[in-house]
Amino acid sequence: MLITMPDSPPELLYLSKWSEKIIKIAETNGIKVNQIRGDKATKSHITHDIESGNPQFINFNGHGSENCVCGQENEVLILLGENDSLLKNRIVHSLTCESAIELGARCGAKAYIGYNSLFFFCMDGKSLSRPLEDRFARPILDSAFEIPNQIAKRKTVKEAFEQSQKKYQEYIDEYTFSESKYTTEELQFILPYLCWDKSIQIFHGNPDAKIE
Amino acid sequence: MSSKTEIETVVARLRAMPEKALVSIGIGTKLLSRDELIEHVFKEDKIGRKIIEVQMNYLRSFKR
Repeated sequence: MLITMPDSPPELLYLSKWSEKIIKIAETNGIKVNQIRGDKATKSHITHDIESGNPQFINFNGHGSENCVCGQENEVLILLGENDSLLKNRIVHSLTCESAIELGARCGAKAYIGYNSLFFFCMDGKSLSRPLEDRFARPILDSAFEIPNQIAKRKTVKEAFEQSQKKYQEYIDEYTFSESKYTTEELQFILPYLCWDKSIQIFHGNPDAKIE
Repeated sequence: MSSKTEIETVVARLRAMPEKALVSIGIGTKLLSRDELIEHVFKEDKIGRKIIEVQMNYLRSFKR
């Protein structure tokens, strides 16, 4: 599998930190991981690595729009109509905004999991240098990263999608119905974005696809 | 175009945000503080309209 891990702008560092768990899970399950970190998350680098490594599963972290996904400093990595054939017959998870609308639907991936609108996540300004300790970010990113975590466990796309949706709902229920360590203001801050991101997560393609 | 009531409701919710909280919108595009979010909502620009949509979707979910 191949995973992009850009770390600038600062929000992308959060996604890269959350991606460390995918790598551990994949390696535990005997899957080789090509980590495209920081400044290497460029179009030329990933083009070379996809063509030479032929990964079954690609995980993109970063900015996106209806027809593209981006890497370091928001450089376009894959653009529909230009180099989307790089995704053909692969399983793709794209933690980017909107790319499931057009790119995901038309790139010919075996399966494409992503989001069909703007993705939001909450952050605590006091935790920017320690993303994994950011308790405002945790519910949304934990839920979103269930997709690659499950794919790395050799689960099917359908199983991964259902597990991610379940995780979102567990956090929503926990924060709505039970006492928690958060204040009311904190819960009311996080919950709208948690509900929103759950509602815009979709997938295209073969639900039974998985890493062989 | 959002109604005045919707804008007032959303702004009231945003004003209650924890002081140091930030919202990442569009992953790598916008990282906004409470005051910046409120500014977008008052302007009703693209980001402001989306924030209103997210907040109102959440509130309306209680009516279902």
